[in-house]
Amino acid sequence: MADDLFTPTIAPAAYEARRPPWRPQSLIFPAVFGGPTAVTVLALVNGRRLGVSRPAHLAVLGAGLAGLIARLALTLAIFDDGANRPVRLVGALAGGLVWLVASATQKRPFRAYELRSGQPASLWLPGLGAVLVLGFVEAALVALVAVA
Amino acid sequence: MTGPGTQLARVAQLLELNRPEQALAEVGRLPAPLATSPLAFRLRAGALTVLDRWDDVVAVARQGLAEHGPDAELLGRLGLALRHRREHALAERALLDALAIEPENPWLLCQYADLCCAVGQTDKARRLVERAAAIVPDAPAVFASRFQLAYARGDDRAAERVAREFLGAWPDNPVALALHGVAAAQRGRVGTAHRAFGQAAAHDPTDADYADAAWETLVYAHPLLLPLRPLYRLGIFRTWLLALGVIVLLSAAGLNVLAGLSALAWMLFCVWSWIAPPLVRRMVLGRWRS
Repeated sequence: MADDLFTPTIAPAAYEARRPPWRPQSLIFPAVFGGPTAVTVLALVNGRRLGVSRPAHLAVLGAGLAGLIARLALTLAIFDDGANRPVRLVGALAGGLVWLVASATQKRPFRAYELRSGQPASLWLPGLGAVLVLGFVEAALVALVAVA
Repeated sequence: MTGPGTQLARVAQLLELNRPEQALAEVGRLPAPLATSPLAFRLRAGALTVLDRWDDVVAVARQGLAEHGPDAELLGRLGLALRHRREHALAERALLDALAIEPENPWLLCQYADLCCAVGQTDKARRLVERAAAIVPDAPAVFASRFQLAYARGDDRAAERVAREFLGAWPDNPVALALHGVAAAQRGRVGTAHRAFGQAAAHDPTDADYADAAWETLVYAHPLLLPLRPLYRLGIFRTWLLALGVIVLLSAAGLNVLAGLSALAWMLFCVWSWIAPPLVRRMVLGRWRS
């Protein structure tokens, strides 16, 4: 009887060289300093580099959208309330929650990448860029919604 | 006078003593018919494997297979070398060919399990490791594969437990020491990791990876990185949770100045944790070079 353990399951093109991914854990920094949009964009790019499954991509995208909507809703509630609460903290928390999803879906593929002797790419410039550009865009969007 | 059997036995003994360079030199001195025997190819591929000379392992294994036909050990070495060259599908083909000859060979089962871990197929890897463990539960290859499997699945506690068991069963094995170091580093125990990698390097000076890992952990023991120890020990998630919890609690208690100061300190800590490790690494490396 043929043993299914000894059936080939590795496709030749599945693990071809892509651009090196970032360490999923490091995405926490742009998540907290940039907010949900920054970490979602970076996590989606990272997921592509790691070759994660479509459901994992969708989970990150869904968490990103949910995080952004939650941030906007909470900020509006805080402004309506007229209370002097830390609006920035809401953005950091929303980003942190998106990071949790990204980290959960990308931890295993990243470990496999490490076991293939892969080295992570530096998140320095992309992370800083995402924090400055996407963080600013998100802050502008929050301000617009709050004013409207 | 030494017979052909004695000469090959001497090469095998040199490999046992972890002297791959000498073993290779000895194989190079073998007379023509003996130098191209199946055992000579196995020994040469084995020595090259220890030296991580993967391109040469591929060449020697393929030559041996071409001259003598299918051989489980040479196919196994070929699979291992092809994995290191990131030719995963070809590595799988070689390992499956080897397992077709020796389906109950624990080393081959572990090699295939490691390959499956490296491509993210952890369920298949688990079944392969279980099969190998059923044959020889205490073999170093089985411990190493169990560790890799736990690591690939993101189960750091299980990986640490396996590393402890491995070290308990094989206290002088460099792989056991190195894996103990990896597990300790993963949990932020920099000193333990440094000692373990140092011992691994002392037991196997031919493997530069152990010395590199020992150096890397030395960087993390640098005084400038001392403030980051709690982060390494607790992990990113728990540290963040703790910090945010403190800030929210202070804010809820109306201690807004303290909450603000805590938030500022936490931000500075985060920035430091981001920029300090690469800077310290560069600094230490520069000092070592000069």
